[in-house]
Amino acid sequence: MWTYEKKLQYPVNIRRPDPAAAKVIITQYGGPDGELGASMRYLSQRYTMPYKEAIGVLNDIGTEELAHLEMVSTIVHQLTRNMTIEQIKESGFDTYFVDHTAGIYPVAASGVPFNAGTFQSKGDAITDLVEDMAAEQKARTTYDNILRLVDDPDVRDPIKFLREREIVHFQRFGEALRIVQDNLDSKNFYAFNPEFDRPRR
Amino acid sequence: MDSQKELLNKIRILEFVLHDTGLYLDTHPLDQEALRYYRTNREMLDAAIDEYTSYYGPLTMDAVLSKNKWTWIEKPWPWEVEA
Repeated sequence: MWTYEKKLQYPVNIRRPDPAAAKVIITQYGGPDGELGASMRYLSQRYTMPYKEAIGVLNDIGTEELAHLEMVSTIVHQLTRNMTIEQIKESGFDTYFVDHTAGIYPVAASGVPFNAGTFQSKGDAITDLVEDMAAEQKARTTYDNILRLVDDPDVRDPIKFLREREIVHFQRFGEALRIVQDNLDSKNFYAFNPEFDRPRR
Repeated sequence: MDSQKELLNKIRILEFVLHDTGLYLDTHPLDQEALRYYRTNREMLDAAIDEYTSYYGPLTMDAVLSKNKWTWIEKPWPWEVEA
């Protein structure tokens, strides 16, 4: 189970509203490579993972992603505080505003609502960990693209922290994949699925 | 029931008491009787968690006591326990 800590993992203090930035950054909350999907992916994959090191990585990164989606939401919230109607119209934020005002709702930058179809829980250790590594790289690319679009250092600083965490998570998932493979038949990693097939007695 | 399960259940009950009292206090933040009740149960919970951790291992990552092994990942994880 979980308990809540009344703080962010890394501080977010944005002084200037920027609804145009909010409209692209919200994709890391509810978009195809966002933190909500990341958390649900890893926390869902834990149950059938047989190896304790890989369970630990899925559990603990899945938990950290919950802290990241709180950070992304905070960034979007602080970018959309005290907006004028003129700023909303000029920035293109009006298409979000009409449905959600300044409320936080999980959507992609394109406006498509969060969809669990953006991730898998395949019940196969190799398949899931390879997806997890790709997912961390896709999120890293998204943060790189956000850094190309945003100039405000108040916004860039926490985004850079989140980008760095994607790289660390990619490393840990790579190590978890290696540990899984060390437990398999080195001549044929696909001889059996350790999440489904029972070992021979 | 073995003593590990018994102690874990005591922690589960105390945590639920704190959580549920906390929900009540969210909407009644000045209720002195509820505040006293929360504090008493929190003291019992702290003691129970300390006892559990020293005998059976960590319930949270920052409660790992072993100096030479990361015991956090030791099985069983909660969903692996059979009835």
